[in-house]
Amino acid sequence: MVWTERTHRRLPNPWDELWRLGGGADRLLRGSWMQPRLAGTPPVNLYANDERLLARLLLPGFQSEEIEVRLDDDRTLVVRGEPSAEGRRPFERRLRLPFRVDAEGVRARFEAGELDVELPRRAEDRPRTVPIERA
Amino acid sequence: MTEIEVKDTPTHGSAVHTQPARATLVPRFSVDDSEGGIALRIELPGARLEDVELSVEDRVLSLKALRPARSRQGYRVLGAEYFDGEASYERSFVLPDDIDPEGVSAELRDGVLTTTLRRAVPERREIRVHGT
Repeated sequence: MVWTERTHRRLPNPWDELWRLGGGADRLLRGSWMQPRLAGTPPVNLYANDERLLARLLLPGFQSEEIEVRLDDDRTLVVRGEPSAEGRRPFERRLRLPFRVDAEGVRARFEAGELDVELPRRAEDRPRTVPIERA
Repeated sequence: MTEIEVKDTPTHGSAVHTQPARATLVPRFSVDDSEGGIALRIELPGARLEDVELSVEDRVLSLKALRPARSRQGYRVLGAEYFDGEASYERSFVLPDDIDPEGVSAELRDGVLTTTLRRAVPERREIRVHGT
């Protein structure tokens, strides 16, 4: 079998355990959804509602063809930048998403140095209102 | 005696609107110094061309660029590594003596303002020497 990054299984992530232990949203705010940010890597803002996630990255100077947006699995977003000219450094940001997303519906848009990645939540995982039946 | 006007202060049902906060950001930049001039690459992600002001006065290059707040309506913030509200990028640079203030040009592309500064060509002047 050819080894690729995609097929490589990652070691257990201690943050996953913490997430399961509860207080997910609280941990989220403390940044468990991403790796510690290294100097020189682009900053990310992460937003969510019941239906989708929005990840925004500041990538001034990059061109859209130098950026790769990838889902390693349904909860791991990877954004890579491979500059073709000098002056900018290549980078990789790997984000552990707070819920599973539908890979088919992911949309990415790049404008004025800002990258928007919209990731719809898997339909079966969305919050549902349960109607109350009449007796 | 000065009369002080007492305004009716609503206590219920009316939100108090304050001036929206606008942050001042100091943009990052890099310099490419070469024989013919200097290229300043200033990072202004999200800035719009019509809101970029660049001027030279007394050898000081001043930059001010507004970045409107990006819409994130309907979303809540899970985590933020940068300020996403309305912001103003501001920075000034003292130009070296050999830069021609007339020879400054700039281009905004992909969130980077590339400012090209041309070096002044030293003028050679022959001076006639008088003698008796």
